[in-house]
Parts: sequence; C-alpha cells; structure tokens
Amino acid sequence: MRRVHLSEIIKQLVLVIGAIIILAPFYQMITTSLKAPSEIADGTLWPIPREWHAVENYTEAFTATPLARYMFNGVIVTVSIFLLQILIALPCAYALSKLRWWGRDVVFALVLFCLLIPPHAVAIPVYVLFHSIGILDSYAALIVPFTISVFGIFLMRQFFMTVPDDLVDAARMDGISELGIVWRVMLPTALPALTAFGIFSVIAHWNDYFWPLIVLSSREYYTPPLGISVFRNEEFGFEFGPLMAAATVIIAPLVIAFLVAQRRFIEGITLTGMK
Amino acid sequence: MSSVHIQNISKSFGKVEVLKDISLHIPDGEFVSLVGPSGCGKSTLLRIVAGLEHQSSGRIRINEDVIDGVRPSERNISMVFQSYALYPHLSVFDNIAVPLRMGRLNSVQRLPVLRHLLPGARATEKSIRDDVEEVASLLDMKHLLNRRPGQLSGGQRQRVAVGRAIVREPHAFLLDEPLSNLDAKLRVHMRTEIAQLHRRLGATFIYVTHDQAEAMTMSDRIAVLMDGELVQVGSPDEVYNDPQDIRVAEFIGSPKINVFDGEIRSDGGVDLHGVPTGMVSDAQTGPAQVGLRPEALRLAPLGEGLLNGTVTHIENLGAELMVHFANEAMDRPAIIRLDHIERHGLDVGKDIEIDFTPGAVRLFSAAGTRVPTEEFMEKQLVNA
Repeated sequence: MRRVHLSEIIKQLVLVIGAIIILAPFYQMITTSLKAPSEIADGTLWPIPREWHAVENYTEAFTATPLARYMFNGVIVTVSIFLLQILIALPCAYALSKLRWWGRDVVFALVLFCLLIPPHAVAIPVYVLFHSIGILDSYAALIVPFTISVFGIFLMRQFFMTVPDDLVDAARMDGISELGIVWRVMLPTALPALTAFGIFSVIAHWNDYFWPLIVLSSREYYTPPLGISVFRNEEFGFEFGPLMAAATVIIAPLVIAFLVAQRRFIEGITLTGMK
Repeated sequence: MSSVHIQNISKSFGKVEVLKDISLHIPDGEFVSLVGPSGCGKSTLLRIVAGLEHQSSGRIRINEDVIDGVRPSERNISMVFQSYALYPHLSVFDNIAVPLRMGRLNSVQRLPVLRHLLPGARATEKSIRDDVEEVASLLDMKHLLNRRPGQLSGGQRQRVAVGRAIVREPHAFLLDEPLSNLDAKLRVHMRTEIAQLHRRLGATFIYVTHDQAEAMTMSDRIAVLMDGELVQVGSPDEVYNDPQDIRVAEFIGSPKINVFDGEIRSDGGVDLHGVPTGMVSDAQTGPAQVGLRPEALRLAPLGEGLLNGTVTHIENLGAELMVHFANEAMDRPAIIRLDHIERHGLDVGKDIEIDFTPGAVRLFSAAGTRVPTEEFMEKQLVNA
C-alpha cells in the first residue's frame, strides 16, 4: 500500500473544493438548459431532468434570436482583433527585445506603464473619438480599440528575450530583412507564447460585454454576450431554459479551443519554448 | 575566394574601448585564428568583419572592395555561431537552403503557395536542392536532411551550421567559437574535420576561439588579442617558440610556461634566482622575467642543477608526467614535463634539482615585453 500523507489529502481536498466552486455555475447552466420551465422553477439540483426539454430549449435559443449571427459576429471580431494584435505586437516586441536604439528602455517602461491603465478609464474618450469620426455602431468600433495590445507586446517581448541573439544574427547573415526576421524566424519560434496570448485575447474579447454594450445600437453587430442579454431583458423574461441553452452554446467554442490548445498554452505560460 | 584586410579597426561601447587600432591582413585561403582570453574583443572583431557590428573607426576590405556600411548578407561572408543558431522550426534541408533561397528567389517567389505557380521558380528550386544535397554529402549528413534541429545531437547541429555556411560559397568563413558547446572528445574530432574542410575548400577562414589548443592545431597563423590589442601574429610555431609578450607566452601552451624572477646584470648576463643562465642580453639592466616551457626543464643529478626545489604535486598523464615543484624563492610552483620512464623514485615531498639549456630561455622585461638574448658562449667566441 502506498502511504498517503495528511498534507497530500489536504492539498487534494482544497483543490476539489476549488474545482466544485468554479464548476458549480457551469453545472447549473448545463442542467438548467436541459430542463423544462416547471422543473427549473422547483430549484432542484438533481442533474437528470425528469422530463427532457433539451431540444425545445436549444431550438428556442437559435430561433427566437439570431444566435448564429451573434456568434458569427463574435468570430469576426475576436479573429480580427487577434490578427491585428499580432501584426502590431510582434514587430514592437522584436524592436524592444532585439534591436538597439536610443530610448528603448524608456519606451519599454511606457509599455509597462500602459499595462496599468484599465480599459474602462479610457472608454469615454474613445467613445467620443469614435463618435466624431463616425464609426460607432460598426465592426470597426468593436475591433479598433483593441488592436494595440500592450499585454501582447509585453508577453512577446519577454519571450523574444529568451531567443538567442545568434539566431537573429544568423538570419541577417543569410540575407533575411528585419521584418522578414519577425515573420519568418521569430514568429515560428514564438508559437507557444503566441498560442497563450491568443487564448487570453480570444477569451477576453469573446466574453466582453462592456465595450460592445457601449458602442453598439443595431442588433446586427451584436456579439454573443449581448445576444444573451437580449434573451433576458425582453421577450423572454425569466425563461431560463433557452437562456442557459444559449449561454452553453456561446461558451462551447472557448472550451473546445482551450482543450485543443491546452498543451501549447501551458508551454507558453511557462515560457519554455526552446533551449 | 578572397583576402580580408582589417585596417586600423577601433571599437568602443560607450566609454569602454574594446578594440584598439587592430590591423591584420589575411591572404586568400588562409586559416587565421583569433585567440585570447574572454573579453579580449575577438568576437567583436569577427562581428565587425561580418557586418553585425559597426566599428568606431578603421576599414574592412575584402579583396579591393571596402565593405564598411555594406549589409551583412551582401558582404558574401558566412558565419558559424557558437550556439549554431539553426532555425528550430525548419528541417535540416530548409536550414541549409535559407541563404540560397534568400539569394536566388525574389520576395514573390518565396511566398508559401504562389511560388509553385511562377515560371522559373521551379528551376531555381531545383538548383537549390542540388546544391543543398551536394553540401550534405560533402559533410556526410544526407540522411539527416528531413530532421529538425531539435532531433539532432550537438555534433550534428554543428555540421548543419557548417553546411549552411558553405552552401553559398562565400568569400570567407567566420567561425565564432564553434566547438565550445561540444564535449571534449567530439571537440577534438571536429577540430580535425574543420581543418580538413579548410584544406578541401581552400577558402579563407577566420576562427575565433579562447582555446589555444584549437588555435595551435588548426591554424596557418594565430593572432593573439589581449585587452583589445593585437599582441602578436604568427604561425603556431612562432607564437609558441618566439612569443613577443609574456601574456602571449602564458596564454599559448598547456601547461602554462614557467615564469621565474630574473635579473639582467650590469655585464649583460641573465640570472634566474641569482644563478647565471648562460644567456646575455643588451637590454637595460635590472629585474626581468625568465620564461621556461615545462618541456625545456630537465631533472639534473644532485649538485649539478641550476635550480632546486621540492616536489609538491605530480600529475600522471600516462605517457608523461607533470611534476610541480617549488622553493622558497618562487611565489608559485613551476611545472616540469617528464617522460613516464623518468619517474623513477620521484614522489611528492622529494627534493629535486633542475637544469635547462640556455637556448630555451625566453627573457621578458619587468613590463612583459620580450627581450632579445644570446648564448653567452657564442658572444665570447665572437669577441675573441
């Protein structure tokens, strides 16, 4: 028999309790999405519905609102944001880590400083700006404010610092231009970090409720979280079944993406891409 | 192939002067080693030749062309790095092909999908494949072409780095401590391989190392750098047997040369610890340093030696012995190299007497510069 230490048991216990606290809302969401309204009103925690209502709930979720459209918007917005963030963060990170230029340290300090600015603090000025250039209520309004990710620049810079200078010099000797080095040498070596950043970025903007709520008025641009709010506020009142079905549907892509990218994600966080 | 002229190169990083007025002419096809302790500026000099670093003053010429301000890739020089610097995401084939693709294909032809549709790209790609395969068979690594660098051993990575350097037939090869990440055995093996490669290619090689053994075994000439200055340039024999500076004498050769306190007497005679060495010098009288290589020292029968001391340590290397000995006049032990048959009765704590031929003496001034000497006997004969 293996000896089990008390400290080990306590450790596991704490983790199990933590997991239960975190998973409980998801459990509630998924089971509610499968139950009939009467059963939901009972407030039982029993997982298996007495009467399966899944088909009705999920059909309602997709038909009562253009949920597919909202998800399509979500994909457009998150993918555009992520691609533009890479387009900007990688050259910046390269310049901050591998090029020597006057004032580099000051600029990097400013980047760090920008990490401290909460996005809500600049929401109103950006809103006013977008109003005056007339791009409120559009995809651009959802995408543009997030194209420069200070966190992305910082994360990629930290990763690039671990890439040996010799590799950059070798690329220069081989005739690759500086921008070529960013895309053909640094990008492939930075894939783990980029995956980690991608998950952060996609989750944050897929789930963002605050900014779309401010800049959008037409439903055709609604992102998934706003879509859910439509359920609750207006025609459905307290119909939790379809609401939870919709919530499950919009969370599913994130969970799947995370499971697929999990290994790289953890590699990226520990920043051990290469020797 | 080409000659490289380094003319009056100086380099400062801020206030620190790392290279001081270095001039070195490397003729076509020569293998030159830049050696020196770490921090002496040898890598910086190599990077200036490569174009990765800019000199503060001076000029670099290849053949007759001044290449200052020319981009590294346009200098047609290739470089092998200490860490190999292979592209981790590319196969061995693609790693070697990179310099060719960058040189022979334009930016449109390098695009991932489009390149297959363009006329001409196919023929160029074929010529690239042929050249890569030729280099791979030259370096005996055809079977590795599909692997990634991560799947290779240190020696194989080294070979790929060399392959990437030779594939575009450059004017000159720069090698920056290419063997220092390998284990000792492999290092000795690769030493031979690189020397053979140089012979086969007949190209100009500039080789940076802090390992004097690598420099001695591979080079046509050795350039010794100390504190940013070029102290001596010469063949391995010259640098070993005729060092112009005590730092060169101490850096080249293992075990290190023995340095004893000496004196130049007013009559020109050279003393070692007060004992005449049999050499004379015209240099200024006063304290001096007497250098004697470990193999120049011999055991002498009791009562006939010039130096005496007590054995403090014996290193047995099998075929030979390094015997450390000291006496109260010496501030550190000296080393004498003996054949193993001479060991007879020798042990730690034993008193020995040491002898040497006067011609083995290398005399340096107190400041460390070489002082010319002659054997005493010859001088007498000339006078008579």
